[in-house]
Amino acid sequence: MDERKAFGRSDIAAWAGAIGVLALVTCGLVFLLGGQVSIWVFMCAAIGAGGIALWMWWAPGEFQAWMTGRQTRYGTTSILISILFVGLIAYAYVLVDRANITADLTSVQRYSLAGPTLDTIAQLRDRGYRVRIVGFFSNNKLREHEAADILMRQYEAKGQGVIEVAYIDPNAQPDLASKYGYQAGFDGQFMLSVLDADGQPRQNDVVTDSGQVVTRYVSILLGDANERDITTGLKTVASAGAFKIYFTVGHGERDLTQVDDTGISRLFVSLDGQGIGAEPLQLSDVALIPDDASAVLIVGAWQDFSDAEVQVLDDYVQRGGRLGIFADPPLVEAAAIGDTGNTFLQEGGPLNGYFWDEFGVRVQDALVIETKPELINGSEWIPIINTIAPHTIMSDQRDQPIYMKFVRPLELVSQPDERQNQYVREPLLYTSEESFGETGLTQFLNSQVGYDPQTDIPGPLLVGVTVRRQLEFQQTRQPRLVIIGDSDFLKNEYVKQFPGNVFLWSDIVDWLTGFAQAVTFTPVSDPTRLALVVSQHELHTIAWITMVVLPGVVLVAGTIVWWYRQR
Amino acid sequence: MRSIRIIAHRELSQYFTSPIAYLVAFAILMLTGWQFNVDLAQRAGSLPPDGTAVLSAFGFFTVFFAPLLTMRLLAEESREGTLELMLTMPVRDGDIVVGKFLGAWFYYTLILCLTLVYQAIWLAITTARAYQLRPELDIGPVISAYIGIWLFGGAALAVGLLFSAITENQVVSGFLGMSALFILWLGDFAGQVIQNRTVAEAVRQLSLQAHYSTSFLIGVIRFEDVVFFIGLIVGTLFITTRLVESRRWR
Repeated sequence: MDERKAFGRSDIAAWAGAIGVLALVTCGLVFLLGGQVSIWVFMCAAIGAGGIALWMWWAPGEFQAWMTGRQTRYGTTSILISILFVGLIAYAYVLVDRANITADLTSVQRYSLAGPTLDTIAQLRDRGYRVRIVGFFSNNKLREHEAADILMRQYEAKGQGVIEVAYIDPNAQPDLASKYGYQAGFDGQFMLSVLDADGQPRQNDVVTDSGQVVTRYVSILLGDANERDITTGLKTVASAGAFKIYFTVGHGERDLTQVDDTGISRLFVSLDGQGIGAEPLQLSDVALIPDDASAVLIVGAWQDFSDAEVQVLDDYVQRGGRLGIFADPPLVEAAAIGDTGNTFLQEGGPLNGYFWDEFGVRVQDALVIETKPELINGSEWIPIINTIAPHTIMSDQRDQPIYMKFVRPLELVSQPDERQNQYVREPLLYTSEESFGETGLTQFLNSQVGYDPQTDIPGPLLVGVTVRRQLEFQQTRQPRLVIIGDSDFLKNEYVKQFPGNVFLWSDIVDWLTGFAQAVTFTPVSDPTRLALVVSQHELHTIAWITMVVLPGVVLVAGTIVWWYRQR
Repeated sequence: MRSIRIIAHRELSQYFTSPIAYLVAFAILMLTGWQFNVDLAQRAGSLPPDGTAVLSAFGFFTVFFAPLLTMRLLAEESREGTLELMLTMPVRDGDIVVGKFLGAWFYYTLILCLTLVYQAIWLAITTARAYQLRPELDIGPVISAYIGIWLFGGAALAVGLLFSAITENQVVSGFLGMSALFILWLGDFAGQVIQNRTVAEAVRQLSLQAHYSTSFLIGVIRFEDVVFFIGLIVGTLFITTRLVESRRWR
């Protein structure tokens, strides 16, 4: 009876020890997987400690024998040597991992930085810039993170301190991610920030959609980890200051710094984010438009320009200048607030006359009225822009709706004279066929709107045009002109609602300044990307060889071996 | 070295005198052949040629057939009692383990070489053609993928051999080897399962696929991936040797 009792106690102690060890291992695993000391971790640890304590208490002799036994000594030595050996291998791996030694075997060096990228990095260094490329990768994107890191490590290595690469888990660090402007859908994407002297990204105040002012890092969205997008971002930074746009002032133009719905501050911020300088320019105060002007924009002016100002503009154009005009119709908005009226580009005025004589294009004293049944917001003052002509501007975004309110039609010369013939006029935006140009604006204010075939202009109406001098007439830089019969579409209110308006604006800026062309990095073409050409007959032959002949030979060889050995 | 060579040669000979090895080769060729033809048909007229598609699938097949090659190596010797006999011979325990591993790796290499037929076909229908505007096979990624899959196979065989040393039962050895390799394969998706970022990244670092599909398979040879596979082979063989050695004092 006593022997049976002693056996049971020892047996329980041994089982308690085994369960204790198992519980401690489980405790470690649960902690590693969960990342926190949860109730399960605590319970496993308690069971583990209790089990081993029970073993030591109830069977101290067996515990001591196990601890000092031959198997335990040899086993422990063997385990420790193995751990040491594996540790050495892991250490070697970490060292090699930090050294970042790679060989790109692709024929076009797809995973190596191209010459233009290295030139851009050198430009950044010469100009004293330091940038941080931030990748957003949640736990679900670990594979993409690994793939992207191949390229990003090269940027960091070649940058030699100019380029930092950092990764943020948007789920674990949501505040930091949002400070860079992270939004849903950016998981797996990269952003670029310029660092100041303290090594911190430059900051600015941004008005959110809810009207709240928050401080954010100035960041450029780069997109996926590919050399084209990353290098384009770096070129954008490297070219900062090389592009400058002057906005005319003094004629009631829209205010760049006005952050409410009627201002155009969002566009100003987007220019700033791209490194394009923006400065006001009072034409009456200068004899010449500065040479560093990439373009001059007139946005929503209400008062016409004087002959002297037109002369300054003409001088600029003749030097290869680029003009962007965003003109609202006369009277309507001005009358609404009791003003005397909008005289900008009035028919017979100096600027409108200059545009006609020089470029063969003029802005008409009319207002576009939409009569299509499917009116936008039920307003006949909001024309449906249903034709975006083939052009570099909006070339990738033709399906994006453009929202304009109170729009002014344009007219092109039908038989250009010698001077006008120096230019190529390319229509850009048209309204619908059901729209018309109301010329009786006074009647319009009195709510007497209706199409009059005698005086009104039938649709479709041209409301956007680009003009450029033909190559044989240009001397150095090609003069360019964009006229859009509306400036409302640039207002903060519409820009934040309608992406098409933003694309139209940014494409116009790119076309005028040449910014996108200058900063876009185009990788070399890849001759291995042509589609495979193979006939059905070849496919059948290949299938026969690979699915029947080759496995068949191996099977027959195996059968012969088996048959030979059976004998 | 001589004893390693003799043991490796003996193991390799055993593969070729047994129909099992031919059946494994037959199965691999059928699977990769099917994969190759499906990929070829999908690319015809629409996509550029890619010689690495078969090798991508080969990595997955390796997870399952590598333990089939290694499951008997030590388990069978142990069950039949010949391992004790070998341990009494004037050869080191490590020589036995390394010799058996090299025999299996050499056989794996021969099977891998059979898949060069697919690359020859790719070259014949692309680069070797006389068309002026013909698609060209990018041979660089193919070379890197072969280096990668060869190291991958070595690591898979080493893991399989480890489980062969643990048990006397071949079936259990094969099953444990497959399970371990499959978990190492799935480690690539650790981030979708494990909440803790550090642990998820650490688990992923142990994944065979993570060191193969995002580097070797796309034409990039990263030295750390080479070190990973060689380190895994050496480390696993070291532990296997300790396990074999343990028979002396257990």
